[in-house]
Amino acid sequence: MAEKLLALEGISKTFPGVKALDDVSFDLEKGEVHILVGENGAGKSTLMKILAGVYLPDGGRIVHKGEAVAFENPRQAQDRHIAIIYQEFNLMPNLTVAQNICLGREPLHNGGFIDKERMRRTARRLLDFLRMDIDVDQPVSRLGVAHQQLVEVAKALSADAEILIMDEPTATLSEKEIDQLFKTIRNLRGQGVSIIYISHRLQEIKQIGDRVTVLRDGRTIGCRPVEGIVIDELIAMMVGRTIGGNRIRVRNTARGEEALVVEELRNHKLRGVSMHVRRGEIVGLSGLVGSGRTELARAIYGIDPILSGRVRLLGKDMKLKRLTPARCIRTRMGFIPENRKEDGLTLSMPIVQNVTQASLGQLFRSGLIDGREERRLAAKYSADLRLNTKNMSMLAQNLSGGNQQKVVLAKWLCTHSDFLIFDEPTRGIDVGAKEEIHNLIDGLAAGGVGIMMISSDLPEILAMSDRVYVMREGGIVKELPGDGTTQEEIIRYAVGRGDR
Amino acid sequence: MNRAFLDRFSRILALVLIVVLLAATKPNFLGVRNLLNILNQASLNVIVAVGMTFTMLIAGIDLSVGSILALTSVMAARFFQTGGVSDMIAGFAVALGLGTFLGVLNGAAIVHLRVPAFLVTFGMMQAARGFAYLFNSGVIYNNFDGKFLFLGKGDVLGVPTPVAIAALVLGLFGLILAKTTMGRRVYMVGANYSSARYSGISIGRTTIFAYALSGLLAALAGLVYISRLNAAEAIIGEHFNLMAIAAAAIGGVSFNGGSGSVFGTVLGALILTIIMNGMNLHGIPTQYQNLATGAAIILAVLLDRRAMRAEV
Repeated sequence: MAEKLLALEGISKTFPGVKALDDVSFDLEKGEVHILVGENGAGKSTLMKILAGVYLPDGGRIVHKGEAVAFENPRQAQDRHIAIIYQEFNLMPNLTVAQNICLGREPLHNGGFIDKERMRRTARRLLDFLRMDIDVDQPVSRLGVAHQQLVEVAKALSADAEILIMDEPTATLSEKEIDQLFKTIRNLRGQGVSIIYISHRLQEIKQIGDRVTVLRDGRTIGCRPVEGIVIDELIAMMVGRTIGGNRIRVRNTARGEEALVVEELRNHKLRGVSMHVRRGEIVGLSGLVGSGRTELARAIYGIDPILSGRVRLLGKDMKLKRLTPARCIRTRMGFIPENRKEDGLTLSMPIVQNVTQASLGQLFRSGLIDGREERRLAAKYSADLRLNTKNMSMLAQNLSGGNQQKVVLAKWLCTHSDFLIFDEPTRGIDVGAKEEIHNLIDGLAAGGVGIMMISSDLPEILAMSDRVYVMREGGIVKELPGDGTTQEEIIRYAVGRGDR
Repeated sequence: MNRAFLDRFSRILALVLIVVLLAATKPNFLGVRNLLNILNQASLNVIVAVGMTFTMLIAGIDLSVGSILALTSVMAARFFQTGGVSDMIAGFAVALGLGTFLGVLNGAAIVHLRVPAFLVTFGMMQAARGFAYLFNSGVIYNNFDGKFLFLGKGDVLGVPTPVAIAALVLGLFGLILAKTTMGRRVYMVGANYSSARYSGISIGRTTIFAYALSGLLAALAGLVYISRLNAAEAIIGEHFNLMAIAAAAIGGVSFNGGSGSVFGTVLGALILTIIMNGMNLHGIPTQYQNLATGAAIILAVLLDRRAMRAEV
C-alpha cells in the first residue's frame, strides 16, 4: 500500500467535562478529497483544529509524509503546508483582494517595503488558476460570500497549501456558486492538492468525494470509498439509528385567518413585494442568495426601513415608520435569523438568559426578574426541544451548532408567537437535529402558528411548505403549491427562466 | 469553577492581600477610624463609578461625569445657603434633574447621531465644564447651611453619611442590574447588540437609560462632594472621570461591554483607595501613588485578558 500523505492515529482530546475525541483515526492520500461527516458535536471541528495546530491532542500522533509531527501552534501546521478555511472567514474586509491573499507573506522590495506590483501579480496568477475574474485591487468587503471564499482558497494556495481543510464551505452558497466551488475543488485535486471537506450536505459527498469518514460522539465510526455508497447507510452511521426518507408533512390546505399580509412593499432591495401567510400554514420562501428573501423578512420585522407598502400582521395594520422588532414581538411575531452566532444568540451569556431574552417584558411585567421562574421556563423549553444539556447556566458559546439553534428556537417558543419567520433554520445543522427542527416547525403550524420559512435547501422547502414563493432580484416571481412542485421548477423561476 | 467566580475571587484576593500587607506594616491601618476614613474616601468614587459601570456594560464610556458633577453642583449650590426646606428641595431637583438631563443628552446623541460614546461624552465633558465656568464666573459658593453639610460631613449611627449614601446606591443599582429586566437589557445590549435587537430590546432606550443613570449619579456625588468641601466652584471634580473608569476596570468591568458588576466596581474602588491610603500611611509621595494606580489598572486589564483567553 502506498504511503499515506497524512495519518492521524488514535487521537484523543478532552475538554473540561467533555471527551471531544476518543481514539480517532483518519488518513489522507495525495490528491484526494476526503469528506468528514458527523452530527454537530461529533468532533469534526476539534479534529481539524488539532490538525491545524489550534489544539494539542491529549493522546495519539500525527504522521505527515512519514514523519511524526506535533503542531504546537497554527504556524507550525502552515509551515507544513496545511491550510484551513473556516466557516467564518479570516479576511480583512478593508484590505484589497491582493493584500488579503498575500497577508503575512507580502513580497518585499530590496528596501524592505512591500512590492505591490509583485503582490498583485501573485494574486492575479492564483485567481486565474481558480478561474476567477475579479479586480485584485478592490476591498474584500465588496465581494459576495462566494467570491470571498475563493479569496480564502487563493490565500491558502499562496502559502503553497498541499493539504486544504474546508469547514462547511457550501453553507452560505447558492446552488450556482456551489457548482463553481466544486469545479475549483476538482481542479485543485487535479493539481495534487489533498482536500479534507467537512459537510452536512450528504448529497454533496457523491459529487466531489473520493472517500468519506463518519465521526460520531468523538469516535470514528467508519471510512468508506464514496463509489457505491448509499446515503441512507451514511445517515445511519452518523446518527446510530435509521432515519426514514424525506418525510413529507401532511399539507395544510385549511383556510385559517391571515397571519401576515404584505402589499407592494418597497425599500432599497424590495421592488413591490406582495404575499401572505395564513395561520397554520408553512410558506416557503425560495430564491438564490441575494434575491431579497432575508431583506423581506428584515423589513417585515422592522429592522430594515420600508419606503412604501402595507404590512398587516396578525390582523393589525402596522405603522411602517414605527415598525420595530419590539412592536412585532408585542404583536406576537418572532424571527429566527440566519446567523445564529451574530443575531440569534448572545454567546457570552448562559442558556437561561438567552431563552428568556425576547420575552423579558412579557414574563416579568413588574420589571423584576424571578430567577427561579426564569430557570424553570428555560429548562422547560429546552427539554421540549431535547436540548442535550441539563445545565441551564452553561454559556451559549460552549454549545454545538445544533444545540445553539435549539436555544434560539427555545427563545421563540418562550414568546408564544403566532407568526414566525425562520431564516435558514437548519443551515449547518446535522441530520438528527434537522429532523427535530422540522418536526418542531410542523408541530407549531399544526398548533395554528403561521410560518414563513426561508431556505436555500430545496428538498427542505419542498418537504415542509404548503406553498412556496420564489424570489428573484427583490421581487416575488412565482407562487407554487407545495405539492407537485419540483426542485428544477423552483430553480427555473429563481434564475429567471420560469417562462421557458 | 466558572469565570465570573474566578474573576471576582481574584479581586477579593487582591484586596485581602493588600489589607494584610498594610495591617502587618502599619498597626493603625486596621483601626476603626482609619477604615471608616477609607470608606468615606472611596464613597464618592463608588457613587460615580456605579453609573460608569452601566455605561461600560453597554460597551460605552462616560468621560463627562466630572464635568457634569461640577456643572450641576455649581448650578444648585446657591439653594443650600439658606437652609429653607423648599430651597433644599429645589437644589436637589436642579442638580439631579440637570445631571439626568445631560446624561439623556449623551445617550441620545450616541444613539441618534451615531457618534461613538467616547467622542460624545468627551464633547460633553468640555461643554459642561465650559458652562460651569460661564455660570459661576469665578465665584465660590460656600457657607452652606448646617443641614446641607450633613450630607458630606455628618454621620448616621457612626457611619459617615457619604458611606451610607454610597451603600444605598450600591444596593439599589446592584439590584437593578442583577434583578430587573432593565438591568438584563443593559447586559444584553453590551454582550451582543445585534441579538438584543432581534430580541426586541430597544438599543436606544437602554443606551439612554445607562447614560441618564451615569449623569444622575455624577450629580448626586457632586452634592455630597460640595457638602464635604463646604464649597462649590467650576473647577471641582476633574479627576472623577478617570477614577471611576479605573475603579470599574480594576473591578473587572469589560471595556467590550456585557460583563462585570457594580460589586466588582466597588471592589475596584476600594482597592484604589486602600492603595492610596496605605501609601499615605507609609509617607510615600503622591507621584508614586499615581504610578501604583496606573500599575493596578494595567494589571487588572491583563488579568481579564488572561481569563478571556483561558475561556476560548
